[in-house]
Amino acid sequence: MEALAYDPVLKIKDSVDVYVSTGESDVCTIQFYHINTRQKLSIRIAPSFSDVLAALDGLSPLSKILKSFAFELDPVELKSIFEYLVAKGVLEHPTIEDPNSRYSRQINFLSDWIFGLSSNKAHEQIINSNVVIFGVGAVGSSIAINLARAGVSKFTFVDNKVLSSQSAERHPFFSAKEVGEAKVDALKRHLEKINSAVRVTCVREKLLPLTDLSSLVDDATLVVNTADEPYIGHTSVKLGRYLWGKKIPLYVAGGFDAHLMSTGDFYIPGESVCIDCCSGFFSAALADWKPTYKVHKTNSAKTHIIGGSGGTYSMSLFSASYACIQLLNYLAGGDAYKFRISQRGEFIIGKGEIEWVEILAKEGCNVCGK
Amino acid sequence: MSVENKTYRLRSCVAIVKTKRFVEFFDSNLRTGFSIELDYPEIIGLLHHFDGSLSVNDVSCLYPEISTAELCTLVLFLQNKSVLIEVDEPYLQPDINYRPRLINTLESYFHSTSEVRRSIYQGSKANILIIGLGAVGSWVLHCLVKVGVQNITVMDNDNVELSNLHRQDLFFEADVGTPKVIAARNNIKQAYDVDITAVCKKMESVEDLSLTDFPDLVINCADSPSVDTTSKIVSDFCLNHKIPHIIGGGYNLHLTLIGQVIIPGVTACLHCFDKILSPTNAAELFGVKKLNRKYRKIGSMGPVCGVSASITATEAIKVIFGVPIRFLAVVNKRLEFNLSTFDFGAFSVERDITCAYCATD
Repeated sequence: MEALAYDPVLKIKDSVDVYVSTGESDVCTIQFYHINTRQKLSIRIAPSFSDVLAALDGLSPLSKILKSFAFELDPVELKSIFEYLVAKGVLEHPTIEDPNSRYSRQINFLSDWIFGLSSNKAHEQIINSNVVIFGVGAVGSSIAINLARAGVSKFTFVDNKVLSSQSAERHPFFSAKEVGEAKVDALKRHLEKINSAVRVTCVREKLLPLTDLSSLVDDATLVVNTADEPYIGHTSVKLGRYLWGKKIPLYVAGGFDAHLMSTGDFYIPGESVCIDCCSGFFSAALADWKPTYKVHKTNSAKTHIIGGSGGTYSMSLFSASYACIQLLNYLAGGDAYKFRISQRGEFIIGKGEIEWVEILAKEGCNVCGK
Repeated sequence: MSVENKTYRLRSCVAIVKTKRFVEFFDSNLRTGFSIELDYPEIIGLLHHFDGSLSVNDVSCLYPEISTAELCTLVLFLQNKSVLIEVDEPYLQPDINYRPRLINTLESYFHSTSEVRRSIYQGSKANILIIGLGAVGSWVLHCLVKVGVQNITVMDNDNVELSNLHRQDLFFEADVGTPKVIAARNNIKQAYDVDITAVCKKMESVEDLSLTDFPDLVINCADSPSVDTTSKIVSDFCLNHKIPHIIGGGYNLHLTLIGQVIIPGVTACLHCFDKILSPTNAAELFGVKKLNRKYRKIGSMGPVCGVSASITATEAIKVIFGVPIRFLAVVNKRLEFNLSTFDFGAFSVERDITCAYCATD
């Protein structure tokens, strides 16, 4: 064993469960189970091989590990098995030096979720992203916080509002002492406490029909819209048309009134339907749905309609978390986000289920060409 | 008081659509609806008169073609369906100013403003115990504070580590090295001026839970030494004292799980679940052992825990504010979020009425 030409440092991926059958004496079935993606792989092999697997620590070269075993294994056969298991994503050459470093657990997670890219590289792509968020209310700020915790290091926030006492209900960066301050500034300070390496540009403006977008979004990796004034459909169409031409993805988040726990819409040039197809689709789908809502003159609240929209932080956290799973998968170079790319889901609070609507493109659309 | 003398308000979050023969009602907070067959063309205008100041009698006078008895029948039906809410007590001005969204959330579950007021009072004063302030517990704690729950006790013995910051709420770089319960207490005090009770201790036995006053709800977000162990302790304590409890998910090896709410004697308990789950597990694992690996450190991601925590907290809020049990979503089942399809699956378990642990008599 001294002159082992093939002598890698290996470990079983942390996200893989390993089961070994015990029924036979000379052979066993080893099953590898990816706990996150639920894929399985089985091999039939000598029972002693499972001991070798269990001893892989991600630190010692194979030759050192084999020394502690009394039995001999054929090095050629061993090499082919290990290479097969590496190719199948069950074993890996360890990539993290310090298992307790700031993002080690996330990098571990990415290794099982992002394919065709090393998990370190995938994580680097997250770190190097530049995210522009329009509207930093309950959902927009929650998305910012989630992405900042995940390592995104560059943000621009566009919002012209100030924190009020009522913001305590749903804004996660709320602090009683900051009531009256600009939301963008308070959120910036909050992110800097989470990660001192973060760089935030604050723009105290409201997105208007004549707003010049180029200086705000041209360097963005992606743009998130949660600005629901005057109406999220209008701000999204303006952003969507501009960004499509720039080949920059737009995520229109859910979680606003009447859609308190909805998923967002992801507009990615070349992949999804375009913003005009989406708004056309919903106009047509809701053509016969002309609801009336009554706001009473007797309403006793000045800031919010009593009897109107509800919602708690826990509910906006749902929409924000859901958005960030999709966004982080995209930023890290994954492809799972594509599964729901032109679909909108509404989480039904009383059922614990999502109801989905598939958004169809207009036939012969010359923008998205779907 | 008879119905005709009562005052009602048409809830502003209810969308009404009138077609030729039907009237459709849609609660845009709950996203549930129903329709009734009704060809009265003035129905929407009539309902708009219920503004919280006019009595049924007052409205009836405006519509002489409808008998008062008929109108009362319609009003009671729509009150039962949470389209109209009886206005029998005014809301407190601080609640209107500072938590109108909570009021509106609760109005979907109750039939009168006095019930909503009682619910807010009950929720504010409820005693809640959260065990474990990790990737789920920290988010759940923040959710409960923001909805105005005043009496929360948190139990955990870990310090904040740098490697926690990517997936746990409430902790900042400056907190690294501080006990989690202390950091959470200080940060909540600073932001919301609310005092939570910090117990810097690892839950290891039922006795550890007797340290506090009996809580109204226990949420288990602890996974050390294992979820099975901590859930068993919480279940033993809570079933014995008939305390609602939630088996959280989102932790190591159960990253995508959203655990069930258990109302002792009413919904399936941990043991009712085990009875169904154990044979399934055993059949799969017959003649199989799990490879023991001491070098394993499992991956995790913040927003995946956030999805789990947000649903757990949303369910917890229903329990804390005394929302009727029929509105709970994660009872007699647990949910699992699928990271490839971005959707939830459910595993349902009926309560076993012969269960030795949660039987009512």
